[in-house]
Amino acid sequence: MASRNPTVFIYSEETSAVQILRIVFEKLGIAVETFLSPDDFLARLHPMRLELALIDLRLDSEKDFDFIIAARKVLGPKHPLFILGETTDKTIIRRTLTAGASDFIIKPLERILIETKFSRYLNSDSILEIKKTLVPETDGMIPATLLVPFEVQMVDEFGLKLLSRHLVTKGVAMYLDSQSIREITGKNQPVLVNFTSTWVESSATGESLYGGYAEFDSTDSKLMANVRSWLSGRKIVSEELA
Amino acid sequence: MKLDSIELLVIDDDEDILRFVTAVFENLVSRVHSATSVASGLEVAKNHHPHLIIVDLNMPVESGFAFLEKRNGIPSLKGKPVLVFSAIRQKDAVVRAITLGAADYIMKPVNANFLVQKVRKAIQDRDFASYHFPKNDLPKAVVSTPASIAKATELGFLLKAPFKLAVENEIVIQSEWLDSFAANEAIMRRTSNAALPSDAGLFLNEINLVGITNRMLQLIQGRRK
Repeated sequence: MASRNPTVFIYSEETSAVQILRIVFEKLGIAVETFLSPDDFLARLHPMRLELALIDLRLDSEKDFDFIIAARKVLGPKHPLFILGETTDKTIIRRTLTAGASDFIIKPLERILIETKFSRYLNSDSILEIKKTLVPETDGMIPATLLVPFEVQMVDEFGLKLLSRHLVTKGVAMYLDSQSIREITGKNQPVLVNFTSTWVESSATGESLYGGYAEFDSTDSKLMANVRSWLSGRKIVSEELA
Repeated sequence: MKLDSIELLVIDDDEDILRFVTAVFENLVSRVHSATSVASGLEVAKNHHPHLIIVDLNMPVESGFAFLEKRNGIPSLKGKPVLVFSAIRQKDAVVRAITLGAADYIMKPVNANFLVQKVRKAIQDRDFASYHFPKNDLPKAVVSTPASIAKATELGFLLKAPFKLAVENEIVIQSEWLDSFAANEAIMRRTSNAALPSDAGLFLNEINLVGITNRMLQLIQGRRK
């Protein structure tokens, strides 16, 4: 954490919005530099001058996303860059994240959000350091189901070779499902697989990818026979030609 | 190659032999199918696609040689290893069986350990069928796995799961608890903070809630009181 008061850079087209935001942040002891022109904002922007940037945008034209890209380019990959907007459209919000936003705040900006979200970015680096939580770690866990996308690279008589951006723990049994999986296994439901091996897979785009071999449940002889039947019906394509 | 995923088919008109082979392999392989004739053996093979077939050469009606000839004409069976056994101690029988595609020849009476070794070798020597999808058209699939939520705040939460999730990637979580304060309306995204290894191969992934609505905040704050 910086020894001086943390500084936030704020850009908005609306004078009133900028003024309100300035008041709220300064009451929390956060120094603010405000801008009404995107060019002035970008000209002044430098990672050494601020701890966090907040940009208020309508997001109704491509120039808004270009602005986010330009700001991220100046700040580098790590600096928090918040976008403030009225939209709740997830497609648009995702576009801001792809353009380089760290987070998106739906207007109006509530004080509680500044006290929590912004304080977190300004005062601590991780949720692990936050004391006031809804579910303290020591109180046990809330159950949930995680859904992780994969691509199927290869099928053989015992399992599948899968690719993902996420690394799976070896030796864990999970359910796998998709229309293609149901065609291969002849089952009208998700199938149980066990990841017996995992590895880093090279990617032509340079993106980190992980491979995993997921074995079918060999005690399900009907499923195993269906897989062999599916394979026997395919034109076998060697790895080099695929 | 471990045998516990393998399925065998044994074809012999002698039911004592079928019981013997089944007893030898029932705890070693996934499943042992049996048939007492070439005709029923072909049916079983076409329906269950066993990894390896053992057939007796010396059967009434149709011999094991007939099985080898017929299976060579069935594409789904042609590549499968076939071991033949028989009491016939004639070199030309061996040559004929091998010429018809038998992987190995075993003389009766059969020793259990010897039979297991022969089967293990035939499986090891075999190329198992596989299909590689075209690189530019890989089919999609979704894995679902239990996970747990800890240390949740207005910012996000820690997710304990058997995955080290990719940084700054959107993730999908199903949770009634998250639904209770409309968190499913936000985008859930893995932060750039490192995922920490937890117990038993699990990881603690930090998840950010992006696009929190004021309704969500009110629900969260109401829950906190």
